[in-house]
Amino acid sequence: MKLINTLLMLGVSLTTLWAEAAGNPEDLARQWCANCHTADGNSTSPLFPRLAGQQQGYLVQQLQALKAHNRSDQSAHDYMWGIAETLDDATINGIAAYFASQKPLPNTAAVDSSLLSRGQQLFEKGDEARGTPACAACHGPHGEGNEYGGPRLAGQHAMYLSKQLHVFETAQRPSAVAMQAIIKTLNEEDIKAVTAYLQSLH
Amino acid sequence: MNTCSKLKTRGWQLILSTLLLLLWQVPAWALPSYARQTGEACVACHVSFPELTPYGRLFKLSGYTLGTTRLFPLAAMAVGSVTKVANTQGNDTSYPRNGDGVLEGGSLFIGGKLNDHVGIFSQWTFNNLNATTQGDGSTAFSGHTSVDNHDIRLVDHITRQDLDLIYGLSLNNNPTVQDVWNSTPAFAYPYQTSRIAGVWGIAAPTTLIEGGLAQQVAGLSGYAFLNKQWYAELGAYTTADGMLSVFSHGVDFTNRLHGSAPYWRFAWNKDWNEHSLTIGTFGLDARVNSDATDPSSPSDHFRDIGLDLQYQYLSDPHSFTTQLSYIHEKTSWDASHVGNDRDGPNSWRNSLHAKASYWYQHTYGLTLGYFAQHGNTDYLANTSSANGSPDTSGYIVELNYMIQPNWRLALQYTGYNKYLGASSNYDGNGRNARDNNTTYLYTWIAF
Repeated sequence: MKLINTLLMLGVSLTTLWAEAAGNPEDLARQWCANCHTADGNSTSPLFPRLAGQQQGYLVQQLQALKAHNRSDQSAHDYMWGIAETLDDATINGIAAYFASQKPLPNTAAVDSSLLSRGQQLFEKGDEARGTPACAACHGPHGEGNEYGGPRLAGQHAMYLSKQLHVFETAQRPSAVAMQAIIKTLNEEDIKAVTAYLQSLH
Repeated sequence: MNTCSKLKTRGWQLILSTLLLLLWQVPAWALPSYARQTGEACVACHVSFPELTPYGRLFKLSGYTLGTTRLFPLAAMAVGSVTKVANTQGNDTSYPRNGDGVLEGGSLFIGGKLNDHVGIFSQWTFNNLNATTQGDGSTAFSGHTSVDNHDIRLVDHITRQDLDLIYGLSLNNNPTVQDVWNSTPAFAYPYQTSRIAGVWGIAAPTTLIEGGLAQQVAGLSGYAFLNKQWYAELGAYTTADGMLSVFSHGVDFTNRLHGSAPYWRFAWNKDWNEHSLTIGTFGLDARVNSDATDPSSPSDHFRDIGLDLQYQYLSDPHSFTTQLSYIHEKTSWDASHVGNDRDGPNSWRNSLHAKASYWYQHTYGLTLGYFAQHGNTDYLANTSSANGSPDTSGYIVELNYMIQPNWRLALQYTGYNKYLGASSNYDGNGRNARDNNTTYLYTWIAF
């Protein structure tokens, strides 16, 4: 019974230590977000998106969607729901501002160069015959995104982009209304080409 | 089962029932206490439990302090299994429960953030297969609760433009349990071993640092991880008695440290793209009493030096990981041993472990492992061996299926090429190394 007493005492003592996650947004970004996205937002693992130079408004929108569980793709659920739930509005704005102000570095991971010209064509001009609009129209001529909702895509990991394009085939990212229509016009080869091009873009 | 054991068993039943009630309303994706604390899934921290991802390593190094403090940071796990030995040579009483389904036991964890700088990993284990040999040579099983791994951390994390420094202290009760790479003994492969095979006495010889001091010592170490690249740790262990006896609660001493034993760990780590590579060294310099029950008995001197390597390729849907460790142990025996249980005043032992795992979608896993232990011939020390050699080597093949992210079904086969110095007739009574091959089917669940 000594064990049970010990456990009970430990449990009771922990009740006095209740506290919310604390810290200013920049510290939080460098100490928690950085573990996957790196401190400067230029993540090297393609499992985690690059956030450096991302549009601030887009980051706020996504963190709010993750917090509200409106964005429900598997990775969002596995990695981000719980974290976003601990963030209040001011912290979300602060973290978004921090990563938006980081300098995006070129993505040096290898891509299949034979895909780049088709990717560039799709990005800059789209495919009129199939009803694919030019990505650049919303995501900026250099893939830098715009403040009206088109996120930065330049330098983003091809694997991450490809995964998200497939998510748009579902209703797991309901705010991406335009992309849910556009993805229907792209085939697997197009996705490979345009994501390879975007990864190489700087 | 005596009254005390009955009370303990009832205590466990009470704790487990309370836990189940507490967890009743937790969503299906919620996992043990760290997952509940961070809101993240198992896969964020684990390739497969307990193997850590880069994020899992940083979570541990950050002292389990990421996320929010929870009122009851509790978690539990349980293991059920069937183990079958290749050949009992007709001596079935020496292999009790061979081929039987058994509930091995389970653990209760108190694991989580206490405040922004303090976190805890506290494991208490109920062994349902605590074996005692009866007068007639048969084996009786009972339940036994004891302390398991503990790691209590005090940490700070400094981040600036070009600096990322995590530094802190770890108070723990098992050398290397505080380590974040799965190439050091405490959390090295195999991640699950058959308790029944242990009761049968089928096990490769080990060095002191490979569990010889687990739950018998308490140690404090200071560590620093610089720019997620350089890791350094220095500490010392002492016997967990007196005020420190909570760290050895319910455990019988088999090794008692004489004085304090210095511990070190250095590693270089690099994470890039899908890759993560770590190369390191670790070790322990320990004086151990020749009689574990007598602190004033003369001491033997062990020096364990380990080299380790870990590589992980973590992507989606494919993950591949490999770990390699090599430990060299040199022992100077006190004169009282020589001629009694040791042939000579010095001995050595080398322990090699290698394993590679492939996982598909974090769900289907295949692991291949290899182990080899070598040491000097010593007829007095290695009495089970006909030629006095401790040399043992073999392989492990394991198939895993994750029914849920927190519920594993596994089939593990351990094959011995050599056992205690020979592949055939190693004991002089006709037993071959391959007779000890074991098939282990187990299921593990954590909640």
